[in-house]
Amino acid sequence: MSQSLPAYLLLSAFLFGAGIFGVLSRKNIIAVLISLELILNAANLNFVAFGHFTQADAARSQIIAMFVIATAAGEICVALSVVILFFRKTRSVLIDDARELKG
Amino acid sequence: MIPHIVRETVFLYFAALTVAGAVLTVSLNRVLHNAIALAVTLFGIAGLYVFLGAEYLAVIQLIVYIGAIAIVIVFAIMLTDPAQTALRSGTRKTLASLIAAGAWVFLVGASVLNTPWSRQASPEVSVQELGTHLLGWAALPFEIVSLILLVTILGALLASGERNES
Repeated sequence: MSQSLPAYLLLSAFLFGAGIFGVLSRKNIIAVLISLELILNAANLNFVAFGHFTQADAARSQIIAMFVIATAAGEICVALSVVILFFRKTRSVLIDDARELKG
Repeated sequence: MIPHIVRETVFLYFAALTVAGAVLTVSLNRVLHNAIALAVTLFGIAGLYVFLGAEYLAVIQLIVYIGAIAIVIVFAIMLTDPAQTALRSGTRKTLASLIAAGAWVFLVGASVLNTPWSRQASPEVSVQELGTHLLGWAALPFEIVSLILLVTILGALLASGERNES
């Protein structure tokens, strides 16, 4: 089982589904960001699994996964600083209160 | 060589860790608990990377994701109001999200199980090989990522830094 592609793909699909559920159902901005990390990890797991089990170059898939991790680090850094800025301004971390940019 | 049964047991352990962590990440009410469950999920995925012959990526996952991203999230939760963390969307919205996510998992799962996958694994990748690639064809994206990280650091500092508005 540890050497079959479908096991990893199912796991990754489940992670993605859990992330989608979190993004759609949570009110707290930080909780939404946490769920986003799940989605990114699901994509990474797919990259590495396909690189390992198909004819594709495994090194290439791992390098792409590395870039995803680096960009995810940057993304969470900027997003959290925006959340903290938003909290300072409105004393709230709820996504429903972020309506200032609404048309 | 590690016996097959031990290998499978360890794989199932990490897979269960990943699934349980993901479920707790999106189902627990307190955001701090979500962040800790996320760290557990990331640890499980790092274990899965080892099974996929990506040991270097597993270590990167432990250092960058658990060591940095999870910790930054915990800090952000502590800097904001923990009392607001228990709030959730209404039952109807939660149910709709559950149906959307469940439909996704069902569709992808069904198509994965109905596809005939080939069973040949590609050869192992050494860390040395990864380094050669990173300084070869991947040199330009590598530099761009480092530029992105620099801009990110400056942007985050500028955005959230304390300002004296007098």
